Amino acid sequence: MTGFLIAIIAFAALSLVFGALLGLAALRFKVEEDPLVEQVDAILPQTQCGQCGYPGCRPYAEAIANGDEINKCPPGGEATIQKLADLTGREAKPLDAAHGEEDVKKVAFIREAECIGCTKCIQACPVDAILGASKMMHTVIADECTGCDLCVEPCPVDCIEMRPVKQTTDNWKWDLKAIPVRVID
Amino acid sequence: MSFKLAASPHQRIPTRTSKLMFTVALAALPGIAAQYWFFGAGVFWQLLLAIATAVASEALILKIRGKEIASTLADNSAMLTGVLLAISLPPLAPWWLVVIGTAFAIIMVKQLYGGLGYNLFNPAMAAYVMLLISFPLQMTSWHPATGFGAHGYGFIDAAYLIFTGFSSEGFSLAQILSGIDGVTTATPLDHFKTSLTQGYTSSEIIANNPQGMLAGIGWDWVNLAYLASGIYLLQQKVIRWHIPVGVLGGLFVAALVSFLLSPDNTATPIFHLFSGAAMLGAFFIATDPVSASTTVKGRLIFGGLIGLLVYLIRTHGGYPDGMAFAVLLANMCVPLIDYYTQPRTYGHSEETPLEDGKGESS
Amino acid sequence: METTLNLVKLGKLWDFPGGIHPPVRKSISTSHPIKRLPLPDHLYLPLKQHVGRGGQLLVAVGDHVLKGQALSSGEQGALPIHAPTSGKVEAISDYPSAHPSALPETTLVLRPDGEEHWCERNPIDTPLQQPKSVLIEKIATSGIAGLGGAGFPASRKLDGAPESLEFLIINGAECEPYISCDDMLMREHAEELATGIELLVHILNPAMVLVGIEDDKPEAIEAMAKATEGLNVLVKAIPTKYPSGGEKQLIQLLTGREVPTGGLPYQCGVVMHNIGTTYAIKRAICDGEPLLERVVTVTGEAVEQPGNYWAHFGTPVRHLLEHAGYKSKHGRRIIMGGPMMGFTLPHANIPLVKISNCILVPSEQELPMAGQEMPCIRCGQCAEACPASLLPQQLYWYSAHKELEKAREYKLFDCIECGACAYVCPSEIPLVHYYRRAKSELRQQDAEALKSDRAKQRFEARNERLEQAKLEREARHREAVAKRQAAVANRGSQNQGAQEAVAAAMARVKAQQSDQPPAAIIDEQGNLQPDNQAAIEARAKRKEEAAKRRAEKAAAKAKQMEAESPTSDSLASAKDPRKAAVAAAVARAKAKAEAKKAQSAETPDEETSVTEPSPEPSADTPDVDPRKAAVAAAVARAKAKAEAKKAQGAETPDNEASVAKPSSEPSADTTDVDPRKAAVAAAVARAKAKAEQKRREAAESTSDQTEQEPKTQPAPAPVANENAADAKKAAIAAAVAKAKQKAMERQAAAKSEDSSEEDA
Repeated sequence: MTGFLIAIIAFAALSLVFGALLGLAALRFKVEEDPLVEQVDAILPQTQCGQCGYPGCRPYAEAIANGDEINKCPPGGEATIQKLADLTGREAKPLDAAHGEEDVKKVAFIREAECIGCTKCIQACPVDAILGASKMMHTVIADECTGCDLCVEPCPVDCIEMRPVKQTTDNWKWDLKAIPVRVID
Repeated sequence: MSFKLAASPHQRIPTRTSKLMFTVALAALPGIAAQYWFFGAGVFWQLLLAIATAVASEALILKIRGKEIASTLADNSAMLTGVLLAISLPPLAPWWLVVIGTAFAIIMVKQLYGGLGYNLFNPAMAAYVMLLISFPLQMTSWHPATGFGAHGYGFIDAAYLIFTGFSSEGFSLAQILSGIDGVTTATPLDHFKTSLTQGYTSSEIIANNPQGMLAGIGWDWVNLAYLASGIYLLQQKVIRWHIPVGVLGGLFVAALVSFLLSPDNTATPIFHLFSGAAMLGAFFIATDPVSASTTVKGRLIFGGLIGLLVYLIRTHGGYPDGMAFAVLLANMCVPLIDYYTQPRTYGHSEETPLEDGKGESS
Repeated sequence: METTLNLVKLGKLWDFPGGIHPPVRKSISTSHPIKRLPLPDHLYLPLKQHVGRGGQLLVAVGDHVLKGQALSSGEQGALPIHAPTSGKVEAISDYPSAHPSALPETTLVLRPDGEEHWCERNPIDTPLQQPKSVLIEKIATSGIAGLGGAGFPASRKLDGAPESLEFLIINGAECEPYISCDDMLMREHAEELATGIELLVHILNPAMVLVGIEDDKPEAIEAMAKATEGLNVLVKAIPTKYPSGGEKQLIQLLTGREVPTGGLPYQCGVVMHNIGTTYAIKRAICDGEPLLERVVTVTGEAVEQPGNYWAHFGTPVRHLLEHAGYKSKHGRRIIMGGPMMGFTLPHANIPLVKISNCILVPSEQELPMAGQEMPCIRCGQCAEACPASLLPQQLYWYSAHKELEKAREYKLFDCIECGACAYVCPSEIPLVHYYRRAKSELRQQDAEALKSDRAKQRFEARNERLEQAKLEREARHREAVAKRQAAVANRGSQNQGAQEAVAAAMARVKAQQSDQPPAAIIDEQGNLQPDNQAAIEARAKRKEEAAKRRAEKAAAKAKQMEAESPTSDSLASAKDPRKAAVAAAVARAKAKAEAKKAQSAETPDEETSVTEPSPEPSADTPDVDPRKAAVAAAVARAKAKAEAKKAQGAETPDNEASVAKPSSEPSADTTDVDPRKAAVAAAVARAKAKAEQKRREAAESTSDQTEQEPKTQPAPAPVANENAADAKKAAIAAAVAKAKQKAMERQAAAKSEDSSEEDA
């Protein structure tokens, strides 16, 4: 009986000591990390396009932190899903087709001759990438456009189109097979 | 006309993987000849059998995996695996042993890991270990080395023995193995080990037995032949010096230290270097690039580790020789070795593994 | 520092790890002195010929320019380009560039007049008495970029150098096989090079000047040693080993130092200039000649007269090859640059630029094409060849398997792309190609990360602004209420009560007016999110529609066929091509609308009612002035859109009739009014349309059937009286068609949603 008691006391004492040690270590070596929402938000492409069904990237980040699926972001595509999977430790699923498909990067373009200066697109743009005033022609700051296409719908005269980003020598990705080999002679 | 596009560089050395593999296989010829001389024609049949099995299993698995067969077979890697396994096996091992071993090496160890370049373990050695564990009797049945023609069986007889277990004259394999005088069935390493346990000192063992000049009849010649081949491979720049030097150095240093500590209980370093699979392992097995370490420093460590392990297994392990085990164990350490032996990159201040490289750009 | 200088003085050479010894084959092109090419028919001058951005154009098409005249200005890191000869600017357009991708870039096409009229040259007569800023300025305005390969602006190297520089290194190593342009330059122009070195010494004031030349160029070493006698210059013969001519490697060879990763050479006390650059600097300062030409090695077994040529920038490669006796049978590749780092050209019309040091046309036996790529056997030969002590096979592994961050961790960006690893690879893996792809991919990822950061900032700033606006508005409301209460308290009589009511109403109106623009978003949504709720809903709708569409695909197809039949009629009736095009556009739009409608499963009689009016606009399209046309188009579109919205709301028939009328009126008026009036009219139309639409949204739904008829009427109205055909006509017709189509689509969407709801 005493042996039994000693065993119990010994284990209790040990667990107390180790518990205290662990607790101490947790305090001592605490790693300051961003909350999950911030980390998820940093991975999302910040197009604010709402294709995920949430009104912006941050709401979707919050939803992911609360357990929503990670495959609802078409602008981010596979790369973003992979990163989210790595971060959250969930399985990387293919992009949910219900929210759209991964597309080439596009930016909005206003056909300026047709613009009537209604400012509707300016109000729709989540990142203030459209310049213009009432009854004046508007234009898109291509460098700031995230390609969310939210400005296309509100335009009363349909003068906004999404154009693929032009390939230049700066963003060329060494795709030798894509070079048209011209026939000479 | 149109012009072709290609990625730079447009100039390349003419040496190809297939040629490298072929050169290694070819370089094993002197050793094979020595084996033929001292252990009979068995090795010839084993080679034939192993190469045929290796190529056939590679073709089969490639077909199943839906890959192109001809171009992959042309890299000669399957053939080389067959050669290396065949020369490691006892010369009169039964045919099914060779077939099982080779098929295992190609299918399980190489192709199921993704084919050439993807296997973690040396296929020939993994198969050897598998056979050794599964069929210990057949795998340790080396018969004593004698001179050419003195084995009691001929060229055709060897085939009979391998395929049926009996020579054409009706002798069983066991009879052949027990030799003409019926005395010894053990390899020098084996013999040495058992004698030690019987209380002999190493000098007594060597004095009592008709050993060769270095490590036992035949074995020293076989090892010398592989040493010569290895030097040829080095000269041809097919292999680099780091791994062989590591293996032999590790073995030599370990043997020397314990020999100096207790000369009565251990064999001489020279005995260790020229017995068993030491030279074959150092130049032909451990230098398999796929499963070896890739950094210069890592290769020295990798080789040294193999040498040390071989010595430990020979002296303290349950098996007389330990090359196969040592290579496999070292293979397992490769990722770790590679990680910690990265060279200092130009423009970086000190030798730091990866973390340092994080976040750097252009 | 002192010790390094002393060691160098004592003749010590260091070594760099790795390196390879490819066959050099330089003697092919060094048997003759440098020749001069005749002028080609056209010179193609890309604005951007170096690392960085291109300058601003200074000339226009049709201008006559003189030799040496600046064609673009260099600002903010850009370098100017100059006319290599006198002639006329024939075009400024996109033209394939001297880049591995051959993607078109802005290029100036110059037609030489053969006169070679120089513009005014301004040589600096006593350069060694001038302050160094004057010389640097001259070098910058002469457009001198590094002629060794990378094309870094030379003036920036001089500008950024520290006061107490230890080494000035002149790079004459030229380690790439085949190339001999620097070799020949040193043999023939050693004196000028010595002057160039003097100028550089004057600018930089280094403790020591080194000229590094590979020991396989004894003539060049001798010539340089002779020319620099008496100057404080050490000509160093270095062992021939590729890539000893790489900037980082040559620094390591000559000084034992390393450029810190991501840094520039002056951070370890070194500034390096290429032989060609040094010569160009001498020409710019002493002769006043900007950078117009360079020595190019044309070599390879497929040319009959390999050698070095003085060639103007902009000379098409084809011209060079013709003069070097190109045997078209043999050459299957044209390589710009050397065999190790050069790139293949898709065709021979690529112009020569500042960084083009060699045109290599090898025969198939000489440099065989790479065979089939085999698996990596981790042989480690690449690691031994790498001059930067990287682990090429690990980089390959991560690059090929798209683990780009891992590749970055293995120091991918320290790779100098010299190609030594791929040269020795027995498995013929194009390693450098993998690295380049991974690098460009990573660069893009970084750029995107930066962009998304900025987008986030902008998004948050916007939200903040909207929040602020909302708060201000609320504050105003409160103020107004307070005012009213104060008024009530102050004045008790009836009269005053009425006045107060008026004032309150005024205040309300004011408040309403003041918050009009942002209200569009905030009031409707009730929160501060961007106004994409509607878009989300629209997407949801589209999704449902898509599902529906798939289910009824077969039926839709059949209907589409039906709908297409009238289009052929309208096509046949149209006579001139423009009309035909318009008709076709209209027909297409119609067909699409039909298809959509068909998909939403409607009755056939509705279809026919729609198809009728559409051909009208195309048949008698207007001859209006552009502005009017634009207005008309805008009105039409606005109207159509309003209709569409209306259709979505599914209203009563009498309401629709009233809409159709007013909206068609202003457009009919526009035919004779001035632009201002037109704009007003358009605005009125839009406002009306919007008002209508709002009203509809409020109204109850009754029937779907009747709304079809009026909807299609307004479109033809604005264009009814016109006859002749011009460009605008087409645009208008297209716009009309588009608007109609959009209306149809919406309607269809609404319908399908209705029906799907019913289904559910």
